[in-house]
Amino acid sequence: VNGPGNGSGASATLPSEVSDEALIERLGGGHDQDALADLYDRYQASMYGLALRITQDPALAQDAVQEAFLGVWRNAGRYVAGRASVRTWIMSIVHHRAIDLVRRRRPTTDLVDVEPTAEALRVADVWPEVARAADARAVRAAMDGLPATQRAAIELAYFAGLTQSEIAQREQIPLGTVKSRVRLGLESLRRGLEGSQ
Amino acid sequence: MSDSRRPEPTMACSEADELAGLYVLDALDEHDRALVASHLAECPNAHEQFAELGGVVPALALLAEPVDAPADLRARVLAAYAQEAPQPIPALPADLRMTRMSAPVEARRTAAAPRAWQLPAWGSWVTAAAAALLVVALVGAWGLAARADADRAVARTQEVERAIAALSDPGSSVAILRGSGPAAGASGFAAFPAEGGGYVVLVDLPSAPAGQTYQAWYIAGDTPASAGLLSVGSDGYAVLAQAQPVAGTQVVALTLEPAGGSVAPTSDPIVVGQVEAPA
Repeated sequence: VNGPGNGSGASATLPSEVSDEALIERLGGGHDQDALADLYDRYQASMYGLALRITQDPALAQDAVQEAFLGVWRNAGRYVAGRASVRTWIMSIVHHRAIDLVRRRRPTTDLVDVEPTAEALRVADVWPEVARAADARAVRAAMDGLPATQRAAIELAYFAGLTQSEIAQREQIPLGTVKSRVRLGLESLRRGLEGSQ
Repeated sequence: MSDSRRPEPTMACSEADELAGLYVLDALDEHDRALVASHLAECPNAHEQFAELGGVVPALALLAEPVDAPADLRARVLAAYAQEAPQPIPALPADLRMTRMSAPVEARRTAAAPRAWQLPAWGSWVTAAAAALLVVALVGAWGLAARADADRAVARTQEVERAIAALSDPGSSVAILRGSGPAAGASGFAAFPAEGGGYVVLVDLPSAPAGQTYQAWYIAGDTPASAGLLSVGSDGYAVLAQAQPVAGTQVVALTLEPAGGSVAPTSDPIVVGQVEAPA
């Protein structure tokens, strides 16, 4: 009930003139709860929606979002503007957190304990987006254009957090087939997104 | 340098490329992931395939419908942050402001600044009056801001009070900052207490041009070390809290740098102040 952060469309109550990059800078520059709160209000719905889709569990999804914001704060000084937008960077952090949580819950996945520093490095592994302005509809259309087997392989990896061997087992296909389906699928997706620009 | 047999993790470039899709999706089993990562770290080839496929991954996040998180998550996130993030110095008693404002900041001679930085000559202006005027400007700026955004203004007023306390603490090293060029008209101070974090505070600082950011530097000898990035409020106020100058810092300076900051300054300083050690 408190604060302006009860909706993603609360632009009237947000200092929208402050750029995402400036908020990240402030967060990296010292204790700045307001900057974190502003980022929360801007991205909570996207982050929670993604975490929920991955974890299929509200409590786990909330944990993922909370851990992701702490990751955003801890890594704010490492954020490199121009490499990826703040949105992309933040979404990749929550994606990593959510995948990590579902993998921990699943005994089959070969897991290593990720140290905070190692995690920070992996968080930084964000590539420049192929299509910064892509909207959900364009991405969905590009996905729909893929052969079903390629689409499934990508979704199992990205949304279910399955690894190559888990996908192979589940789809009853050789490891090499998983590899090629994912690679060909991402290549077609790239062409589809570039074509939609 | 033990010669113990360590299996050399080797992987051909073509093998790494074939795994690019799974790697960028973080879907490799741990053993393969580590092999690819070490190959990428050591291989002189560009491996563009990784950037090409990796650039697609962010778009996948758009496939998940946004869902508002439960209302109490916001408070939980902020509480977790408050618990983990280093807290600023505790607030001062209210009556300290006046005594500290009137406390003289002694003018002292300072070491010459590094020549490479071509400091503008402003003459001897480090006086108690200058510091007091600055304090008045700062408090005035916050009185105005309070009407626009009460919560934030209160937090920042407390921050200013702590910065002023650091400025007036006889044990602090201080620098009076003046702007020039694009930052002409800006003024402020840096104050570093003997213990705990210090402050770099500026008023009347214009917004950084698009694509650029203000970056503060500690200069010891000829070597600038980054003090961090400063963002400027719409009221021209900027503060860097928890400032920890490097040993032997003689000068605090600001430059305009490409957004995201630089490892070393890429332009001439536009705000400078010479640091005076405690008396």
